[in-house]
Amino acid sequence: MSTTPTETTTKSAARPARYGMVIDLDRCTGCGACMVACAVENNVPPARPEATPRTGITWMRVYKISNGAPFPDTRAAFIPMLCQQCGKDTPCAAVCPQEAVQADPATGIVDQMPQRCLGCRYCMTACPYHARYFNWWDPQWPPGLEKTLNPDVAPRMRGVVEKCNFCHGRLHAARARAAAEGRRELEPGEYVPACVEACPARAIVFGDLNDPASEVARLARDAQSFRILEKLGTEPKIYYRTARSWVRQAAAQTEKESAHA
Amino acid sequence: MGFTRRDLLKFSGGSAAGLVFTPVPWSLLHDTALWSENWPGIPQPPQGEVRTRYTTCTLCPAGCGVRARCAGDQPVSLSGVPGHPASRGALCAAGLVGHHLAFCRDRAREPLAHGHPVAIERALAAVTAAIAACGPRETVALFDPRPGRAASFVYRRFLSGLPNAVHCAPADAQPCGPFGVDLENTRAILSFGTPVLDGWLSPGRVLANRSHLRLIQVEAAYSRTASLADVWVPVVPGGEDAFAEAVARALQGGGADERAAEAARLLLQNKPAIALGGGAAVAKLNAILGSVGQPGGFLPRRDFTPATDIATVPDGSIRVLLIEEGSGGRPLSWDLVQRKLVPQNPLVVALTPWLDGCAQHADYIIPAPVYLESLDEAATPAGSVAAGFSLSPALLASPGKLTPPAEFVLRLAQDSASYADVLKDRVTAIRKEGRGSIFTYADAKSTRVAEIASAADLWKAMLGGAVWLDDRLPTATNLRPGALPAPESVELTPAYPLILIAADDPPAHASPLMSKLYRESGLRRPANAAIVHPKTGRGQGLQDGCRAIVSSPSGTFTVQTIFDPAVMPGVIEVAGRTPSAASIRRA
Amino acid sequence: MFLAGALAALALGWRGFPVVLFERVPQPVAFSHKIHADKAGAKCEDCHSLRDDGTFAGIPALDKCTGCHAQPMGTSAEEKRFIDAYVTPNREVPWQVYSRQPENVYFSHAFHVKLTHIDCRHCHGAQGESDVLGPARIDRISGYSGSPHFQNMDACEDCHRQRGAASSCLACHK
Repeated sequence: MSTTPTETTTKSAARPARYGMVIDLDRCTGCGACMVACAVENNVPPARPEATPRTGITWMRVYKISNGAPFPDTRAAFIPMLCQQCGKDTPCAAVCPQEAVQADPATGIVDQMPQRCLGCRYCMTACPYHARYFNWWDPQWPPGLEKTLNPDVAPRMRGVVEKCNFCHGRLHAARARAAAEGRRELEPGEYVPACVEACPARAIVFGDLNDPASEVARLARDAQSFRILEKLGTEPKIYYRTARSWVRQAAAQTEKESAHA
Repeated sequence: MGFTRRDLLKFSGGSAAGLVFTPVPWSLLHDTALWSENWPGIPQPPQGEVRTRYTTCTLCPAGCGVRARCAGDQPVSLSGVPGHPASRGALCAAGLVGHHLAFCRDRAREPLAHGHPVAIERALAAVTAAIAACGPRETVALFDPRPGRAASFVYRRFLSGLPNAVHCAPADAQPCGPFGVDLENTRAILSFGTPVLDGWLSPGRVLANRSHLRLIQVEAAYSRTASLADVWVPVVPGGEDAFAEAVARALQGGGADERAAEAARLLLQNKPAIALGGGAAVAKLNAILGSVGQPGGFLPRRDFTPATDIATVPDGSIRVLLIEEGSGGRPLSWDLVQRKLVPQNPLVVALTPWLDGCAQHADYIIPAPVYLESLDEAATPAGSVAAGFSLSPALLASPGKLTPPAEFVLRLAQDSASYADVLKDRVTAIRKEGRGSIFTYADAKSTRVAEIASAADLWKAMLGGAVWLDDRLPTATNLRPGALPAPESVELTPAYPLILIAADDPPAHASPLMSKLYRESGLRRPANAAIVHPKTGRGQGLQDGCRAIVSSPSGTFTVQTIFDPAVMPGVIEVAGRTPSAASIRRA
Repeated sequence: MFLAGALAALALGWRGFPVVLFERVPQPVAFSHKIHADKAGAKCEDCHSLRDDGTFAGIPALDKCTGCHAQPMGTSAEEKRFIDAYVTPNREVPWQVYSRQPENVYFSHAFHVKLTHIDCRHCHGAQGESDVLGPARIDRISGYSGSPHFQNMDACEDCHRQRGAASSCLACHK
């Protein structure tokens, strides 16, 4: 039995990708389809009765902000919030004592390994976007609903932190499909996370920021696009865009300050 | 040599030291950790080959196409069908978890008579006897949540054989009568209470056209549509007509108040424009705007099932009432229904998947299958400018003892056909008429019906997931869209000085996942929340977040107060309530 | 005495403990790869194939067997027992999986077989040439496979490190 096959492949991808998103806040209507699609795709359990908005798990969470004008000129905007996939000095990766968080150089995705996590929740403190969630309880599915779990994503037990990983199960499936066709590279559009696919308003654009021809890279460079809490210097890969200046100003505040109804 | 205690200790010490150099302690630690991660409490996802199956969503009249990703035969996630003419490849939040509904609580599992299991024959016999015993001025009514289906045809055929019968439907089931909306060419919408951005037509279609629409929302509640519209015109319930008249005057060059003039300006600058809503004044607005029969406006289509709004049925006249409740959507208001029943011995049969809603008050409950459990149909997609039809094939195994509502009525009519036979007949009729084309979900291709070889081929194509759309009618300007009744105004009294209105009603039945996400994110207010303007709240002695009691002529209930400076002063917004005068005081 | 104790512990730990820890679960049917390869001319891919969407068929379902074995093909008693117990009542055979991985592991045969052209024997040994299917070794405490190659990440990590292949966590976990 040979230990080295005839064809060695030492590079897993021709060029590392940096997956990111551009979310158009002027299109988002706060319907929550992205939240629901995310929870279905990633086997997020229904809440216990004891769960509160702070202890629930919402990998994708839509916040509502308002322009602060008095009645009847109050206008609302909705901001879908998910793990921003920080690209530089990733705070959660830096503090984890278990090395359960890793910024993958090949895709730019910040991997969270619930199986390595010991549940100290230091990363939750470190995350400036409150995008990490703790499993306070074992998942409990109403009878029959456990049959609807997604086999591409492993359910987590209690005591571990979890967060958005850009639907890694879909990345695996897309790569496997490409591999079955003999391809190593993914075509644009072959891999989209659940929230991107579900949004009825097509508000989320997803792709490889390293690919200058991709729509997401083009939109990210646009003047109307900005990132939340950019001043922290974590280089998040989620861009938001809006033509409304009040939305831009409100999004520049921290989540504590913005209206969380 | 004797084996002393010292020897034993040395032996043990040596074993311990030696053990450390074996895999034993490390393996035990490691394996115990692994064992603790795989407690039986953690569910195992289903195993099975990944397959894709197609169906149509029947939770609301939008009729979106659904692509189901299945592990083996079990759907594990749903998504839209790219290229679908009505839904544009999108599903709403409720549609994305439609496959959870079958497992929600409060399922009716077997026929019940006042809570006790019965054979379905008993219910059939009771209904037949009650119909025979109807007096000269008593009616038999059937409430159909989705008129326009082949099932609706079954209902009408049955009812037409009775001396005094009425086919009822929700007032907003076919708001524009035999018209669809040419949204792709519309440039402005003046909406009187229609939730344009939050459950009107299919979200994929509306939002695909949002960028070229100016939206003016006229309603009392600060709904999600109102908060996202270009302009929100708050009016008290009943004030819609006056505002519509004012806009009509402004459109014709007459004087009007500032808000009406601004609205008229927007409509004139962004043509074609339409007005959505109920009342004669809105119909007049549409006539002035010239929106009927014109591109960008209301275009006529072939189908229409004339059904009666149950609110217009005379009070105290219904002797036998059959209520079909769907898997999704708003349940019928029992307060309204009760008024219409005869005072002595009415018979109410609920044909419903759920035990709550009208089933709580029904004499008989005939359990119906939930969305995805049995072959169903979707009528013309809401707002479509061409008549349409699609099948909703089952994706889940149906538990026994369920009866599709149409089959109950077929058995009442002593018709031995099954619901599937009725649907096959409908498809055969479509093939025979030879008009229109079908869009098949799996390959996103459109085929003219005339090119399909046989009715059996068409049936097979529709079972695989497809939607049939008729050819468009040539426009005709002599048709008028049906008018919804205008919302009633609310009489304020000193005892009830505030207006209670509904706000962003959540669906009656939802996947526990969806409810949890809305609750945790705060995106939808809890069912017992009462939202008031801070001035109104403080004027009534309330504090933000306090418990309060809301009283109205129809009763009292407890709420959690939420202050929101965006809502109209003088108004209390609570989900699921009909507009009425009310008062609120601290609990 | 100390030395005796140490030696006893070493012996027990290295020889005795694995015997106790791993449960040897026999396969339900005495399937012979050799017979099927020789007499039926079957190759690995005939039963263990890659689907178009990149998923792997793994251990074949009953319909692969009934394709030929609806009626007895040979004269062995084992085949007759197989037909009576599984084919006739249309019951899936509860095969033991030597390489069963926990729920959170993701392995793509498409990548390793189609793109990297690794031979089946590299990971699965000479299984395809065997006459008998050995018992599966299952760890009694953790329930994981006791087969050396599949027990933990070591073999995977070694090969990945040698080839410079993906080394991020989520490349192989889900």
